[in-house]
Amino acid sequence: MAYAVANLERSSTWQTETDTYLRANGVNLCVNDYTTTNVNVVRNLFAPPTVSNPNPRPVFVIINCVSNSTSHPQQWQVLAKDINTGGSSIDLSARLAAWRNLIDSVQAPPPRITGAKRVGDSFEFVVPGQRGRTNRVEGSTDLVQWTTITNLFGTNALITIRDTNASVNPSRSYRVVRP
Amino acid sequence: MKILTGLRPFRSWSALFLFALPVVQHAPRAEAQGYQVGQVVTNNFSLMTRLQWTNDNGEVFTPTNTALRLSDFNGKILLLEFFAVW
Repeated sequence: MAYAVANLERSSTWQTETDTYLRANGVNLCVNDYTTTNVNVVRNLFAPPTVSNPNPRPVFVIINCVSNSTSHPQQWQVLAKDINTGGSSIDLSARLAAWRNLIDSVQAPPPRITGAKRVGDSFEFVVPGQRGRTNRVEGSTDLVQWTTITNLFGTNALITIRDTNASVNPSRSYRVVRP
Repeated sequence: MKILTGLRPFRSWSALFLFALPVVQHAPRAEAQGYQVGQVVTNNFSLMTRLQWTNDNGEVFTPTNTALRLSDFNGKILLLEFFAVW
């Protein structure tokens, strides 16, 4: 998941305040929604000004950038959008909880083994987890009998698996099983 | 003479229809109303980096107005907040 804030204000008057706000809130991914010739072009893709709300802000948009998700197969789909009118404080607690649930509901694609390499006497590879699922990593020397190496408990993070018995079993196959 | 007079309104309406139709067909419906929940974003839009940021692949986006595109978030869920401090 990536959280990015997009600054709508290009007036030099407010740039110091903007940077103070970013530092105070620990924001490390900030972009500007303006160039020397255009302003708020991206915001307007999602929340164009209207008569009743001529300058929508803040605007929250959640986009599924995951491809081949088992739960949300359409990559680049808008999952949520929230438009406000600014000018006063907003209690976002209920919406944040809903967005968190929505984000957590997006399943990662089926796991694939990548980054396989030998490291000393060990053999390691990387497997992505799947949020909310427990997948099993198994090994076999004959492709008939499979033994469990470890279980992967549900996050979407990349997990490095290291088989320290690689020197004992120089020919071994691996697979990821969804129980 | 009567026939020509009778045809004039018909010709006018035809011209209006022919001019109007392409405008309706080419109107970017999603962008005119703003992308709605459930729609797929077809615009690989770009925003300009304000702070230096390094993505999971180790690619560094410098703070000197590097374009950060939607496709740079491939594989993630993106929560984008448009804000202003005023």
